[in-house]
Amino acid sequence: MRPQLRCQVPEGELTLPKFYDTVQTLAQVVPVEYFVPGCPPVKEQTEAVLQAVMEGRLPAPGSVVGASDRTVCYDCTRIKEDKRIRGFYRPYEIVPDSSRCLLEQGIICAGPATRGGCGAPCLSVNMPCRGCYGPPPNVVDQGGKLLSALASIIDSQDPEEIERVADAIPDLLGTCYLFGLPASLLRRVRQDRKAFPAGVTGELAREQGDLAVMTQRVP
Amino acid sequence: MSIDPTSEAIPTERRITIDPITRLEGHGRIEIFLDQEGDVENAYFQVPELRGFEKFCEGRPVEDLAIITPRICGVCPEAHHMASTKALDAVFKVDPPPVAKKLRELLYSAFYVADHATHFYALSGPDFVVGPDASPAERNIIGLVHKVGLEIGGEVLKHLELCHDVVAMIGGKYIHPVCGLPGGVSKPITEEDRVKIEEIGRSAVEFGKLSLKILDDVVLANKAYVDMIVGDTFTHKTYYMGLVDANNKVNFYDGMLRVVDPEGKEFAKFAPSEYLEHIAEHVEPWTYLKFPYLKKLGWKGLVDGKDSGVYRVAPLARLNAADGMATPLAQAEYERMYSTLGGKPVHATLAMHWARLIELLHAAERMVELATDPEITNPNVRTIPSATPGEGIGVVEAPRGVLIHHYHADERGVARKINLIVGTAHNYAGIAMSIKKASQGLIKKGAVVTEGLLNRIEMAFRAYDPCLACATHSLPGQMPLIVSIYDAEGKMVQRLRRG
Repeated sequence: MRPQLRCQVPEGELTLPKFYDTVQTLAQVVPVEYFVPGCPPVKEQTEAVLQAVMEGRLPAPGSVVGASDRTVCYDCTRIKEDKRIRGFYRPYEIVPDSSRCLLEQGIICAGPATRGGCGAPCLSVNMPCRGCYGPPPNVVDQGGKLLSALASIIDSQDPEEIERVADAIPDLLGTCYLFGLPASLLRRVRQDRKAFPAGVTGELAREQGDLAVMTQRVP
Repeated sequence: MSIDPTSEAIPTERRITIDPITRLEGHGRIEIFLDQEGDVENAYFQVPELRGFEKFCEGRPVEDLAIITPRICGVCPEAHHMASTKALDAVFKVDPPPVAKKLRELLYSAFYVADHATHFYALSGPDFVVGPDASPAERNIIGLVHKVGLEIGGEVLKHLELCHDVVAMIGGKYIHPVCGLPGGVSKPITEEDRVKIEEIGRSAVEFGKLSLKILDDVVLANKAYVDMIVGDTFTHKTYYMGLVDANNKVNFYDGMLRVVDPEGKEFAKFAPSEYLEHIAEHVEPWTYLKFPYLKKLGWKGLVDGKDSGVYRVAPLARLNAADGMATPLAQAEYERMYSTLGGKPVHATLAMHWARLIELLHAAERMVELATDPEITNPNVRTIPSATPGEGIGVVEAPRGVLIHHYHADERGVARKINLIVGTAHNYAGIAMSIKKASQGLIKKGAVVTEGLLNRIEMAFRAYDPCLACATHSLPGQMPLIVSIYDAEGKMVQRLRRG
């Protein structure tokens, strides 16, 4: 037996709502006056927004409020040096140095592709940013931005090595688009992956290929 | 679920629809059918949503489930984070260092104080403290603060904040913490943190005592309330399930699952990893939520009693299923509750609120115990997993009851199959029965349904601590609730609206 949209019980009929095949963002369904990013927003930012409402200091409708205009990296106090890595690690595989940039230690951190203002609380307990504040200003596609940041720090020109490095993370696409896939250019993951640039291999390359293909389709 | 309050849907049944009901995890809808005499023939509690977490987590790095599953709920994300982290320990076959387990439990205890306080003061408290017949404009946390005084109101808010600070100190974020990893936690605490946490814990113990005193003064001293609590309208004789420690005392973080029968005798006791031998799930076509039941007794429908497989979880169930509390002040309160209500087990659903405050006190005492543990600042908080990943089950007591996370991962540590049974699901049958019984007890001969009457029906499910959406959506008392009442000819005779 499965749940049914319409079901007769002895006393009458009961109904259940049907499901859509697409996940939409709030703004795709209703007009949104202001966007307060974060899953959830930190309390300091919530306070700041309420304060702004009470004092009538809100910017133009449609604006993002309760966040900074920079990335999480600006909130993060870790030492940032040379971002050249030869391998990715999953967070449980190593104990990273708590004073240095996690990306430089091979842990995927969404900081460079995520809007700041949260104060980087995840980094404060030695865990990476996962992107819950969404893309920074002027970035439409957060996951694409993160993928491109990751691709740029892999210290290799050898396709096979790049493939090996990227394959350390299963579902790299899901990792990069953990938040906000419905708001991305990608929108959804296609089941069949055919077209990707010739000569590029590996999971990362395939997904970048997907991204490129999908991006071209969006006017 | 949104309803257009101005829409005039053509009624086709003698029915009362409460839709949406809020202040529970997700969405709910109550359909009440009246017979020719205007009495309640039947009431259905539908859950018209499906979130799909079990499906869309497939294919993800399994350790990400500790980050994704807390998003099931903004009120009890810590419970999902803990159950998930424990399931990950099992998936990777890794035993975290003792201090890591203690830090998890410390975070969890602080969360419990805040969560139980939220429920008592913001959700259920207004019904009792302000009164079930008060108007919704007063029957909310603001009205409650008005009644108990600003000073106590300040204590409530202060402790909510302090306990969330503890969650953030250990977990990074105070909602959706991120510290849990297979094999431990991501960061040790410093002596400075420890001192702060101990101080907060001691303050929380006083707050727990104060909360019980408010219950005494406002609820237990009022005979009408006590009569309502112990009355038949809010009573169901069911089985009860809860986590217990090695001494059969209540434990929120770890232990064995124990089930007692409606007479209070032990019916089963098993390791959480064996849950599938004891729990099965029944599907009804009119709802998206499944009904868990005790496998050995089978599904007999939405009925209580010793022959029915229906069991209940959450505070009162935990106390019923255990032999006592593991901390001294909570134990004294435990004994007082059972001696006042006539011994174990207590079947009065509304006594859940009393049990919840005893648990709040227990969690506060546990915070102090853990914060003063000599090894709590030990920096060795991680064991790096080395085994090939596989299957793992993690169970904790969420404030709303037994929470089970069950993962299958492949050899690369990718999630392939996920099963989650949350507290509200275990209680689904109980909630559905409570709503039906309360409706039958309160709506007679088609009498006009007043706000107060409606609220008493809601109290039947609110006792189970349905998660609130208030933190992010609306203030308590502004519940977007619409009830339409139709007579036997299908004509609408009354429409009540809140919000």
